Amino acid sequence: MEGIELRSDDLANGWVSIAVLGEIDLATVESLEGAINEVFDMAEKDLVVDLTGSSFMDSTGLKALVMAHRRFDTAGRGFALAVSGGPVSRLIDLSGLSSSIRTVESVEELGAVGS
Amino acid sequence: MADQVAAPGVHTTIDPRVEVRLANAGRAFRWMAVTFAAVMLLGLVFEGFDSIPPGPSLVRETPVASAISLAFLAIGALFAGDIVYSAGFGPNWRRFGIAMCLGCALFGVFMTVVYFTDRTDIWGESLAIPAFSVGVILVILGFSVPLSVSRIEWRVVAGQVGALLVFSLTAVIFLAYLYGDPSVGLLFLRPAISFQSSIEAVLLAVGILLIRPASGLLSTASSPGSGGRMLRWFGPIVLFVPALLLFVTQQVPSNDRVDVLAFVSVGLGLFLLVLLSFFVKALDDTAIEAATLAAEARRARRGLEQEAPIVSGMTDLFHLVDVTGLEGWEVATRYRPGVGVVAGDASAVHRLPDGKLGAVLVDLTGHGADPAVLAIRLRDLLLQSLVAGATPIEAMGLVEWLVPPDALASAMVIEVDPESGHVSLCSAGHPPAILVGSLHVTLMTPTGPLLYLEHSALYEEHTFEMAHGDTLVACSDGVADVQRTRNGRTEPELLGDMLLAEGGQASRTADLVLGYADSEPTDDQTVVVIRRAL
Repeated sequence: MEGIELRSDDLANGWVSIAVLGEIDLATVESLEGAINEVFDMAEKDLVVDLTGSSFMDSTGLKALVMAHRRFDTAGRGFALAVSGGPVSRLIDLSGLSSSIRTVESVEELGAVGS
Repeated sequence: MADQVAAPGVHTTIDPRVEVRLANAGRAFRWMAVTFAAVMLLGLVFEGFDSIPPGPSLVRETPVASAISLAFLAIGALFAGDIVYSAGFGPNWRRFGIAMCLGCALFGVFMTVVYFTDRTDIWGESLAIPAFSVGVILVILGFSVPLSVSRIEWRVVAGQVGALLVFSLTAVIFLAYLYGDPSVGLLFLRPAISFQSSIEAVLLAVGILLIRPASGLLSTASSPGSGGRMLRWFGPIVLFVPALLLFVTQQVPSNDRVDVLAFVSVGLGLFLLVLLSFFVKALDDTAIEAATLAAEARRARRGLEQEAPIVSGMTDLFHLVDVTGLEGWEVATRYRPGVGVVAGDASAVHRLPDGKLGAVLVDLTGHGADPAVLAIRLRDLLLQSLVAGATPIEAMGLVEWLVPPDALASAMVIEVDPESGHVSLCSAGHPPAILVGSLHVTLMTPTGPLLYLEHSALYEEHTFEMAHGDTLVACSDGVADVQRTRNGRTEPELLGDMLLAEGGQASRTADLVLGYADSEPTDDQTVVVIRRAL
């Protein structure tokens, strides 16, 4: 089990990114949920979770992302995942998340285009 | 009760009954100190102040200065100390008491400075105005009170050491007065304090020492453990080492040698006491920790004895197999629960009314009773749908609406026609099923998203024929995860490679798959193997 490192960044056009480095599992998912909650508390901000640096995510991480997406969606705010190949990307495809949650290859994509 | 041993820790090693008794004793000492100070002041009033000159000499006139300042200190200690255990005082009274004590400490500093400014009488045997000695006591006790009521452990220890120091010094002087040799006081505090001041200081020191009996050095002394008993026996002996040494040396008076012995004895006594306290504290913590662990082990064993049959029964509920009358096919299932957790895997392999074979796997996200129960419920609903004649796609579509909004589940539904070998497989975000043929392996990827990921999700299904000798393996992500790779191949792919090379009968294949998985998993591991016999 590895630790997790979260980096939050305010993008130019109303998006906030949370970059995840490390493994998201039962032991670390709480940190991710806490970071997501912080962004949710920032009114009007949209969120992109950058998973390009994450090496593994179990079903608890998957659930955290799905629940976060529902909250942002209900509040009329943008929610996206940044994945570009790699292990987590396979899980996202397999679970069908990419069909219900907006996915991009990098946060820059959102920074340039906006929601 | 033996099982209710408190966890180790400074504030928890003490028996509450012992703590209450000590706290009451400390409060009594503080009240006695206040009362005695009042008596001292009344005595001064009756004697009259006429003979006492005003100004700085007030500081030098010990009877008045010590009586007033020690009275203030006693009142301060009463308010600052009692608020810790009595709800009758508000926090402002506690602050008031602390402020009074600090004021007395500053006054003590002032007294000693004034005394040192006029150096003529510093060690003068004839001096009858021991401002310096009272000043020292005021400084030590004045700072000891706020330290003793602190919630920071090292401060409490420092405050208690200060109180012990004053107790040790003044108790010897008090005993010397009783012994009939007031000059003994000169050995410890030069000039000596008065008899009354020694009584007042002893009362105050004990009262301050017992402000927080569950903290600092006293946490060990008042502990019900063996270390606490040891300290309660030997502590007083060590504490009275100075008095005992003094008694011995007084039998053979020897001027300077006695002085040195007396001072060394105080320091030695205190040092031994502190050393003893830390030693028995370590001993006590270890003993209590061992007792706590033993109690936990007893509870765990009882729990296992009581709950093991239930858990075993629950495990059977999670995984149902009934393939009575199925010919030409082999079915094997394996299940290994996550270590220390109940996760959300549930499966069933069952004959259907139309003669087909239905297999269902459900994996709920999360750990604990709720996902486990929900997994069983979903599994049964999927199976019931198949029994009612629904196809795997239809079953998935029906059940999707029954997943609570705060749950996330993957599922796989398989329907096999034993006659033709035709298979329909619908997978809602479940790890790929592995079809092992005689020459190649095919991974059956999901045909739709996780259950309830989106409303009215459209599921598709894989349909294929299983030839004689083909094996279909379905397992949960606890067995093989698509994210784990070796040499560029995912775990399901690697598992397929292994089964192609080594697979055989269904039970052997199931054992191979479970052997491939982590033997101490953090998630449930479920394996379902369906093989068409040769």
